[in-house]
Amino acid sequence: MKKISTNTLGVIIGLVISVLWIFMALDFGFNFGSGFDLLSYLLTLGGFRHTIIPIAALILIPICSREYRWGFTAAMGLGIIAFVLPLTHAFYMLIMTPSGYESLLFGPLIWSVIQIPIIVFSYRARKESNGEMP
Amino acid sequence: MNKITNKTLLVIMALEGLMLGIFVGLEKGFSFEPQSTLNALATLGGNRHLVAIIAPLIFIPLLAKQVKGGFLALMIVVSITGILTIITIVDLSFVNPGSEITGLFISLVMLVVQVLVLISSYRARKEMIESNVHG
Repeated sequence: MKKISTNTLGVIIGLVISVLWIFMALDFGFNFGSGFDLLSYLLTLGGFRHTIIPIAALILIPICSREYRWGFTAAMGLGIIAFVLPLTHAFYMLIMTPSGYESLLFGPLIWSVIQIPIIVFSYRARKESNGEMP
Repeated sequence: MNKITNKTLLVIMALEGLMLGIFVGLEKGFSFEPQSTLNALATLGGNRHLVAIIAPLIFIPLLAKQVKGGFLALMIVVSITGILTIITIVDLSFVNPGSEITGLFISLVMLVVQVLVLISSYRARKEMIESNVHG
């Protein structure tokens, strides 16, 4: 029985943890609320960032576990988007929101950190699928 | 290139279907309020959807790696949550009828997906055992 590589497993675990983080937030009653300015609207993808990205991650999990090369490319792209948007949003909130709301930055910052292994492992898995790694 | 089998892929996709349903429900503001003691027990105090989503998330990497124990553990968890779903359906249909139509519908859909997960993981595990025996 053939088994998937460690890099593929890394991508899958990363995607799973990313979805789990958002799921826990939703279960605790998280929502973006309303009253965005334009930049916040763009950075939160119209307030649907936490919906669009986990659903895309859920779709990518079976594709990556099947070890399709384009699946790793898509996972890498998704990881980069999910890394940049919350991080930029967190810094934007840090600058724009009054003090006392710093705890709001915790969620997006951790979520950004979770994306790093997804990006690294999908890059490595993609390279591996090209036959560039032993 | 090491690719997982179609049967394993089916298990993962069925689990994802289960999770996606609950995820969309949570996104739309779903929260479960137990209507009776039986209902509270069968839904684990209204937290069954948590178990039903966290367990698959933990199992997905194990299944993707085709760990034999992962399929067995998944079958056990899904059997337990499936039985609890059946109790909820019986409770909402016969013990407290008409109390929550949406809850009944969600439970029925959940049961169908759980049965699909159970069958596909049984088939995938069987395939794995046979492939280990034959080589």
